[in-house]
Amino acid sequence: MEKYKRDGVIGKERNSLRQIHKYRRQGSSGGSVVVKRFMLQPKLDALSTRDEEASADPEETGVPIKTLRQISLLKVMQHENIVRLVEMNYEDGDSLVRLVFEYADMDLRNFLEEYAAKASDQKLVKKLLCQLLRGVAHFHSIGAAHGALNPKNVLIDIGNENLKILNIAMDADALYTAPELLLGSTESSPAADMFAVGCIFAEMVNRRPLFQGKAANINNIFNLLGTPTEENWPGKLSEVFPNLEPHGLDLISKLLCLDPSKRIKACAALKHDYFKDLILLR
Amino acid sequence: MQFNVMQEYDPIDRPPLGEDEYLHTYLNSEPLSMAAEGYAGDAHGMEWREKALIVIFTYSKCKNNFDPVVPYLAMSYFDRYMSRRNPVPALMRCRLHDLELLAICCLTLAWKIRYRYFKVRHFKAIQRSLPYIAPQKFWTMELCILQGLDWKLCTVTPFSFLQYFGNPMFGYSSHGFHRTINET
Repeated sequence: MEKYKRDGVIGKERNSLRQIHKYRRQGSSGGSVVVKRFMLQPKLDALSTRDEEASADPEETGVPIKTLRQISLLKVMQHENIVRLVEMNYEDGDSLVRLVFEYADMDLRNFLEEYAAKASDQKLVKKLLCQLLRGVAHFHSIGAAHGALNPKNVLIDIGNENLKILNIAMDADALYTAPELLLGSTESSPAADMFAVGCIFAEMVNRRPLFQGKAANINNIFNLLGTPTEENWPGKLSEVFPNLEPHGLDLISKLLCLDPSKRIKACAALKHDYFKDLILLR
Repeated sequence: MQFNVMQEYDPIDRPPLGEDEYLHTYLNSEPLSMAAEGYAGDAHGMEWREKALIVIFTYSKCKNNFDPVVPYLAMSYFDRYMSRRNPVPALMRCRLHDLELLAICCLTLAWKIRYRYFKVRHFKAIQRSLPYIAPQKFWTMELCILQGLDWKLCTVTPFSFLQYFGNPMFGYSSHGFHRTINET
């Protein structure tokens, strides 16, 4: 890590107390990166105080299955709207691997706060949402789900208005969690990602989280969207987004659909009429 | 889950993409999932391949379940690893046993990428004729293969294209079939 200097905390790792730090590249190349460590070999010493991820199953033989599946997925993820894996280094006699990902100027939460005027441009909201959906569609196309989408792991490059999804497991934020997960489903899914996209879209439009409070709960969601009879749905959405164009309102209602099996998919969302006046940057 | 949640790797039943854009992606990345060119013409390599094929076929069952995708994937890992001139680590008493361990580890890697709840101990319990392999040797061989394959286990196989049969793009492409099969 000689060529990187620690440059602030960006979040906390999922199911862990370990913080995720941002690093700045030393020298002329500049730029920021995020580092994720993976254990490749279970440590015999269970009391090891090292902060790397421990292997889940000490009886496991060979390379831990979670590590193997996560890294092999990262290797096939090559998309302009997903952060790029730039380096992979081995340490401690190959028992530890360090993955270095690119970072962008800031996360979406900071962008909405620090660039309020720029962020209120509804054309930019449309452009950013389109990029977010393209990144999410790529996740889903390779048989994966992100599982923790929220404005802290959606990154923005201010200059070129590019959006990239950070796919390091940070703590999932309850404010962006789909109702089926709040009701007890334990498996994240592409549909749950789409609900989170709906919440992020809503936050970009109104520049405040859709579900307020210490933690979103099922009451907050039903209060807004109606109870799951679907008859009174979409409930109060048009009141919450008075300035959103009708196509945008239709898209947000489809993203926030309570029934995960009826919720719009990323590929379909990209073809929604909301984007018909957007010239895609390819 | 420590990281983004993954569904099972399934090269057949991919999410319905329906976009030519994704077909292009598959076509572009398929060569990376293939054995290197000329592999099938290497007589020594083919002799080793035949031995590995027998090992993979012999031990390809786990929990009374035979999944044809697993030995297919294992064989594709073996072909990619060997065709790119990666060394076979000398971990066992003789080279034949090294080769056998290499083939078995290709198989366990295929099981691991295919089923998230796979356990090597379940596999050993079913395959009672499997020779004893020290955990450290097992780990070393698996890591060696992963490094040789650049950790790219979610490979594009001909199965990935099944949903596109009938697409006119296939008329203009020379891809879509396994190189080793083509060359043999």
